[in-house]
Amino acid sequence: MQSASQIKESVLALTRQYNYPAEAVFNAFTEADALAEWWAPSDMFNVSALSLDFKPDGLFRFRMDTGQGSLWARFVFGNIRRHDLIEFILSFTDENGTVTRAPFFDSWPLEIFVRVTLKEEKGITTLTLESSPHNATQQELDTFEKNKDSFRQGTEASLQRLEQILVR
Amino acid sequence: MRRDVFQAIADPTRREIIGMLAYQKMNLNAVADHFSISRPAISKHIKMLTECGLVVIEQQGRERYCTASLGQLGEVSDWIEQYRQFWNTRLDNLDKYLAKTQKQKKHAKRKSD
Repeated sequence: MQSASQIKESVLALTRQYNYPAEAVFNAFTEADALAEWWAPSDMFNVSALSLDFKPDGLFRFRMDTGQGSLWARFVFGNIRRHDLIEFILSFTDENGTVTRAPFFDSWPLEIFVRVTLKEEKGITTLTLESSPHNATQQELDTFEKNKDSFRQGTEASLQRLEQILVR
Repeated sequence: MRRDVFQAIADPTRREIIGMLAYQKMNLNAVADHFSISRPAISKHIKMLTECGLVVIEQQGRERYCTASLGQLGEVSDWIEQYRQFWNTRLDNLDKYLAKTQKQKKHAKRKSD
């Protein structure tokens, strides 16, 4: 797990304010049904939570269904501090939970580190999201290289159709 | 093996090196002088950046100059833009989700009062 001090400047930093207590925002990241609901980018997408173990090194696994096929992804949680900090590494996976390259983008990191911090003031919660590609180890990448071709062949056709939907 | 550009930008020192080289060509020593970490550590980062195709090293006389490879940088910035959209969509959805569930909660509470 990447520690707090290691991120100087993230590749992506976003800030949002929500008119709700930090606890409510925090819980939206910690409950499987909640995550599944807001993670779906549009009505054409349905997200189902497969498992959620909300603790450091615990996994959230989920499946995204469209009319054209399914995609899988996972979070591996890192540091967690109730109501103000959630870290996780986001990856696309295959059906069995093995990390794979994002199938519908030409270019997407294998693993992405995400840190969400929450700060509540007078009932308004400021959410800061910092994120960068994660430094995958050589071994992880070698495994990925080995599996890539077989994975690609099987899914390429259906995923190309999915890509067309997603870019709309 | 071939590395990818995302490995290059996964590390804050490498991001800083890319940031410097995006504006100007610099020789290896000048890059290293900018950082407090050891010269071999910087060399390692630069080696990785060259393997990822983000930095090109050229020999000019006795000096070795580093330049950023703009094509590969484009790939990175394209991804960042996609990724920003990715999160913007989700953070908007989160607001909608909270609006819905918090209203339900308030309603339920009022009922039970």
